[in-house]
Amino acid sequence: MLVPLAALALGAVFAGDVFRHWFIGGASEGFWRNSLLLGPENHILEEMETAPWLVSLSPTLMMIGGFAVAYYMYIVDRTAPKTLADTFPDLYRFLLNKWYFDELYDFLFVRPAFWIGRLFWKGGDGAVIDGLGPDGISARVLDVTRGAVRLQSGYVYQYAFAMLIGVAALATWYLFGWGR
Amino acid sequence: MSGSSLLSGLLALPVIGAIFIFLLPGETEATKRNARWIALFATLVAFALSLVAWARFDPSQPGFQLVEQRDWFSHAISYKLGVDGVSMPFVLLTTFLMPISIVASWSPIQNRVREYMIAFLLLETLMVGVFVSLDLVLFYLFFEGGLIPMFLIIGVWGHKNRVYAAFKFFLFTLTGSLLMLLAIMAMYWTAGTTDIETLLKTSFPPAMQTWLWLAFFASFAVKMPMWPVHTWLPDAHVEAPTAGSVILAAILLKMGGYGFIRFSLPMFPDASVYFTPLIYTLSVIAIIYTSLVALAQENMKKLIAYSSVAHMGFVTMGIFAANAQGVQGAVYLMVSHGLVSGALFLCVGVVYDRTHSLEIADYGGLVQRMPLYALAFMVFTLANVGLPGTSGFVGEFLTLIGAFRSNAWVAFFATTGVILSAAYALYLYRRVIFGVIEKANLRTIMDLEPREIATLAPLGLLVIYYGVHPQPILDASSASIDALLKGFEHGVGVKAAGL
Repeated sequence: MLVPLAALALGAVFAGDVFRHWFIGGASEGFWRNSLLLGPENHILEEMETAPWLVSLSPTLMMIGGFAVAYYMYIVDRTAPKTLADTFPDLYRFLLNKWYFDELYDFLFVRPAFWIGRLFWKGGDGAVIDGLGPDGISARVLDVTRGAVRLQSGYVYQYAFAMLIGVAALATWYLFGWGR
Repeated sequence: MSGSSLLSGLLALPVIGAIFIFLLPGETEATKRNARWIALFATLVAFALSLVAWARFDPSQPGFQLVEQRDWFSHAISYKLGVDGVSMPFVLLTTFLMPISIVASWSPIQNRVREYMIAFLLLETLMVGVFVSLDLVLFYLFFEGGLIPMFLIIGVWGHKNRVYAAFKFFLFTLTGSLLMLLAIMAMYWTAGTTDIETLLKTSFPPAMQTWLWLAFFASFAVKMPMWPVHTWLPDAHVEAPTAGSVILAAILLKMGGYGFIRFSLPMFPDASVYFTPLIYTLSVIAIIYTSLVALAQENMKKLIAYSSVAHMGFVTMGIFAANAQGVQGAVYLMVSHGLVSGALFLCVGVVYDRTHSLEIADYGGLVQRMPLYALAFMVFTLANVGLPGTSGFVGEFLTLIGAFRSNAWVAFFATTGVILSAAYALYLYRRVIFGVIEKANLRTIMDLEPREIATLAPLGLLVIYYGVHPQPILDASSASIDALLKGFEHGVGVKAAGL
């Protein structure tokens, strides 16, 4: 594990210095050719080379600063992180929870997606499509046939009464001349 | 066997196998064993025969090949078979998946093995028949006939709620198909024949096209299934035995898409253009709606069923984009989905056979006991998502390109479906495979046995092979699709010039 790490470390430290000339330096035009298309007004590669020394040094300075803070916090005074966290508890929790981005996504996307999914499933597929479609139609057919079954009571007087109503309706129809 | 009766042979072979099984006596162990072996042998020979057909098939020719014709009802309705670049992939998909389905039913199916195998063999004949028919009446017979064995497979060998699911499946598809029968009659009275080759050259008046298109749409939309007539599918899948789900998802659903490409687009071009916004709307709704519903599912088979509906949304979107990428992508996605969804249902079947549960909550941590299974499940899950390098990617990508060329907004909304598919598929995988084993019955669960590896390995290899090398399928179908689209544009152009 140490050998590949060493190779990577060497590259991390010196690669910038080695390739600087080709990537952004004087040889960059010949190196990139047409693969990096720059407009005629665009001189960013040259400007990068001639940036003030403080600009190109700032990442290094930041690194040294971070290194110093880390050295102090975790080697010199190991109670410092706890003190810092206790002093600014809200800030600490905010950073500890990655700015609450996961919770934000959960609230904005994940929960609504599951909620809508269940709504479409139980409400859309279940109540509306199946309810009005196959299940609803078969339930109505059953209702109608149950009603029809009730008419078949087997009592002669009921059948006779139904016939009487029919005859009366027919007689009325002709009496008032609607049939002509 | 002469080239002219090759396809008839392909149709007859499973029936011959079924007759042999029918003649076996009783319900003894020996009978069961013989029935299984005969079915496997018949489906393997059928697969070999379809490979011969493929070898004789010339993909550079756009027209129908291996054509054979015999008079049936007078001269107008004939027994006519043939394949072109659109149907050839589906014939191969069918014959390829049948032996796998037989092997997958080997030990899970223990009662009425004879009848089960007969149902499957007859189903194979009917499915192949759908794809090779060159006569509308013949096509209709095969298309409808396929309902019967599948109805029995779900209704007899299904799970607890099987009768409800079988009837729902039957009534939904039959209702749609009867409208198609009316349209077929109307076409017969107009053109004087039901010969598909002749009908492809017939141009129907625009007003009539609208009605014919709607009638065919009623049938194919249910079969596909498109939103909102998809609700039979989750029930049918949940109740069907494993191999029934495989065939249902892999092949029966493809008949709808095949019908759209074979009939709706070339025969009714004006109506297809007129109804494209409707198809786009329903496709996008299907993709987003069913993906969200899939996310909320608690049953593995239901989740995969809803995911199928979403993928078929991409297919209909690609077909009615009516350009080369869209239609080719649709064919590709259908073949890929046939392999992937079939394999996913096999994967569910593997754990169902061990625990007899389809509930996602009853699983978890399987990777610790079943590493091989976890690997197989992952390959097919990622193919279902459409990860580059799997066959699912090629089809989805092509249909999206095709749709984008025709309507950028449709492609935009459809793309959200890709994200959602990643969400529900990976969520399913995480809940079933990862985590720690908590259920007592999972502590002793065994990894894939050789029989299961034999069913999953060919599918996995093809999914990856067609993911990195899509050319064979694209080459096979491109000449026919180009010719089809030329005819389509010509048909639409004729009307525009006439106005």
